[in-house]
Amino acid sequence: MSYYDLDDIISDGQVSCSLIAKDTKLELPIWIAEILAICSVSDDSSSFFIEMIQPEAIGSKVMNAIKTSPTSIDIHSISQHYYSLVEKWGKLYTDKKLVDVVQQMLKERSEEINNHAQSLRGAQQETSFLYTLDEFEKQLYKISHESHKNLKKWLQNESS
Amino acid sequence: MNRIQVPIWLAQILKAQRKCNIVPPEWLNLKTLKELYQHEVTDLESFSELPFNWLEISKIFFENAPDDLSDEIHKLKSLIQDLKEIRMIKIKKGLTLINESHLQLDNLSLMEINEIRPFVVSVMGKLTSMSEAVTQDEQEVEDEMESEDDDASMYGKE
Repeated sequence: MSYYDLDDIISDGQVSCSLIAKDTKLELPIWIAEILAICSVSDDSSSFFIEMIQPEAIGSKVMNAIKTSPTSIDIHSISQHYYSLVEKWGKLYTDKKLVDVVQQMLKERSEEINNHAQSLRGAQQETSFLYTLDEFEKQLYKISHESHKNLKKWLQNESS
Repeated sequence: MNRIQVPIWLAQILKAQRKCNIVPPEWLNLKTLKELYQHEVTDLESFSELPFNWLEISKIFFENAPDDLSDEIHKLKSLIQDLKEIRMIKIKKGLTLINESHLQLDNLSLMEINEIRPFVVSVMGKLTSMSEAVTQDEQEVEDEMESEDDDASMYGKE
């Protein structure tokens, strides 16, 4: 996560449902919701500006889907920056359970990504899985593919 | 004929000038490689003890000194390839054990590590940053709980 990491910045802009004043629902980007959710309205009051509503992406429905079958779930359609979102949410609410589930998912999916990067599967199956990757996983696929390709090149004596 | 130890780059130069024969290492022959392959097949939990740079050494021999090898080169080449493939399968199996702080694969060689390094590093990096996001906060919350006990309930999640 660097200051100049575009993916990180974009994931900061992900909307999360929020509640403002009394029962007004509003969609705010995480970077502002984060602050409003922990700042109290005034020094002596204990209420905050907003209360964050858990995004669907990390709701129990998605969690169960992940637990059932981490490799067939379409993360891309849920959120393009799923892991960053989970990281931020985990940090805000110290949600250890959420992080554990997602870490397990990453382990299983990364294995699959590695297999695909070496193109051990048929092209047909490959494309359908690749469409479900989030941005971080796409990055993974790219570097894994790259390193396998480079080793092959070296073994076959081509300069890269 | 004198036998001396020289660095492999020097041996390559002398070989190119036809001033020496290179003696292959004791593992670079059909018999030993077959044994190693057998070991890889029978013992699925560990890697056989090949030198740290076996891929590089065998490549150099195949390219620069094929006539110094005692066995047919294409047989050796395909054995090396087989070894590499079966080890790759094991590496994949080993990768499933990855976690945010630790991954141990004994007897892996330089090139094999290189092949998986970028991938492993970024997966572990992500796992670590997710773990850290949670643990760091735990500490902060604990600190806060100590200082302002009654406010802590506000952090309850949905």
